[in-house]
Amino acid sequence: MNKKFSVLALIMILAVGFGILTGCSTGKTTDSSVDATEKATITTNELAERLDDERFVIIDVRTSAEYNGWKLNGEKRGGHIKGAIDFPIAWTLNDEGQRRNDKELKELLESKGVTSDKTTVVYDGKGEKVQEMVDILKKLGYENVLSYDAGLVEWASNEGLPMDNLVNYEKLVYPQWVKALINNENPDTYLGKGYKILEVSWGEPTDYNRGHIPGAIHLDTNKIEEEPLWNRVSNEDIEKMLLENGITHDTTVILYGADNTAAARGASIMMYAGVEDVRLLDGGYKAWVDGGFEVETEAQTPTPAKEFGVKIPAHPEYIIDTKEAKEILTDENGELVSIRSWAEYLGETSGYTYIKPKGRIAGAVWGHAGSDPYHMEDYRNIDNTMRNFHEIAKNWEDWEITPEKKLAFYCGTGWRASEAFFDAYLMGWENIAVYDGGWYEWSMDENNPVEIGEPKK
Amino acid sequence: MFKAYKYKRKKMFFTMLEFISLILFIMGIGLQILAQRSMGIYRDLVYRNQILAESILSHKLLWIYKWNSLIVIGISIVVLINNKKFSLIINPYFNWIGSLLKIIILSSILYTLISYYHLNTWIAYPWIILSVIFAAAIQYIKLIYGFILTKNR
Repeated sequence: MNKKFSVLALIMILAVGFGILTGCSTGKTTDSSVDATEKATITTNELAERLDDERFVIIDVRTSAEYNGWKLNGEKRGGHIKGAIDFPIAWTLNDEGQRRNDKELKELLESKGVTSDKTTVVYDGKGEKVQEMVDILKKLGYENVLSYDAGLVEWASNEGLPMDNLVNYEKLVYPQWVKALINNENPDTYLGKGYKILEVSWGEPTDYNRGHIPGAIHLDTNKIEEEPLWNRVSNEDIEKMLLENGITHDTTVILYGADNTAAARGASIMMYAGVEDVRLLDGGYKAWVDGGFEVETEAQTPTPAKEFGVKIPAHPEYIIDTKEAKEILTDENGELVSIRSWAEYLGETSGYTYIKPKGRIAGAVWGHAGSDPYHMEDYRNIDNTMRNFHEIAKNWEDWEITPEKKLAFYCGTGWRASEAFFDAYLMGWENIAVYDGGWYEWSMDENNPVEIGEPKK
Repeated sequence: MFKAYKYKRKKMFFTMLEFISLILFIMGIGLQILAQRSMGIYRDLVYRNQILAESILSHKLLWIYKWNSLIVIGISIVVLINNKKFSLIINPYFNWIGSLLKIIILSSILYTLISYYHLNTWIAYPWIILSVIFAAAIQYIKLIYGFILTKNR
């Protein structure tokens, strides 16, 4: 009897012990695989309380278009959680569609202020892509990562929760929007008065002939600017160009290119002329191709328009010449903003073989640009889409370039300045212009004041 | 013999210069092709063409090159017609008829290019003209050198 009792007791002890051990291992793993990590979440209220907490960084993994304000998930309000940083999940892949290596990813994240010493909160529209980003962060050694599973859709539904968006986001379109336009699906914000898609580039339509958005027309920038200074052509020639391309003042015009500075140059001139609805395809032709959309190679011939509809220029304030640029320099509330590389700004190089003088317009402030005259890294993301507008504004703020001022952007001959101008326009800044002559025209007159070297203030 | 050797050495030198002038002409054509593909090259040429227009390819100098070419063609044709008289006195090592023919051809090309200067749409046109001027100048110098040899024979 005693022996049977002892065996039974032993069996019961072993059973209980086994049960305790298996129960303790639930939810935890010693496996280093990221799939087995425990998911930590944050609620809407908890997130709302921590928006100003510098120990937290919030990542929005949706597309740039959604971050800027496009409502693609049925959300009540467009934009992003106030203070959130944009990091589309697509940025974790390289051009071949493969995941970037850890070093690249970490550098990219840190360049956006997402560092492992902070608690990172990840969200998207409805939570679908969050786990993927969480897994990536964990693999990179980010220990404190939280998922905001409710997503932007829930956040946006509560009017009391702070959000931010690009004021004129609808002027920066994305490939799916253009595709819907071409398919006559009447996409959101389209005014319905007819549209034209223009591929903008210099000279022969080499890129255009290789492939373009179906229905797009090629615009050679030699039709909108002329030698010797590469300033805009006459108002009559601008009107002629617009009518030849079937564009009237109320046509929706979408501009893009392999290099979007050319498109921006076209945009600033069309806005100056009076085209009311000018939009840029964010990311240019590459964004279209990366989106997997078809291209055509057949050249399109536009049907000309008879009348533009308003007197050109309808917005002369958008492009200024040297006389007005000099007035801005003497205006206490005005700034000439140099959109040239730092080396050009300092006068170490003119930036161009055909511009001999080096330096900057005396009194001009630096608005950032890129590494050389043909790049705009300070205004672009790694996928060539427009950089986070908060970051652009911060760069400008460091040089006292603020929306209350009267601002005229300039570069060598107007392309880079046009991109900065359009970005300011997207941000809702009103008192903005492009100084058309730029450094080229300014430097040709020896009497115009010039500075070289580090700025004094 | 020594003078023959000296002349042959100079002949190699002139041949090299003729080769360079051909390269320059081809580069002029190449520049036109590149300028159509690159905005930077195109705009650079616009700037440099302005400098040429204010210096060695000014309106006045173009007029001089043009009529100089015509005069040279005329004189060369006259000399060629009377080539037997000149053959008796010119250094036998010197292919002066060949040089004259080249001068006639190059001067004709130069005359034509300059005549159509203001109608051209090629951005590298001034540079092609410069290469022809250089080639013609080489032939003029060669001809003059040939006559100097004749004088010192």
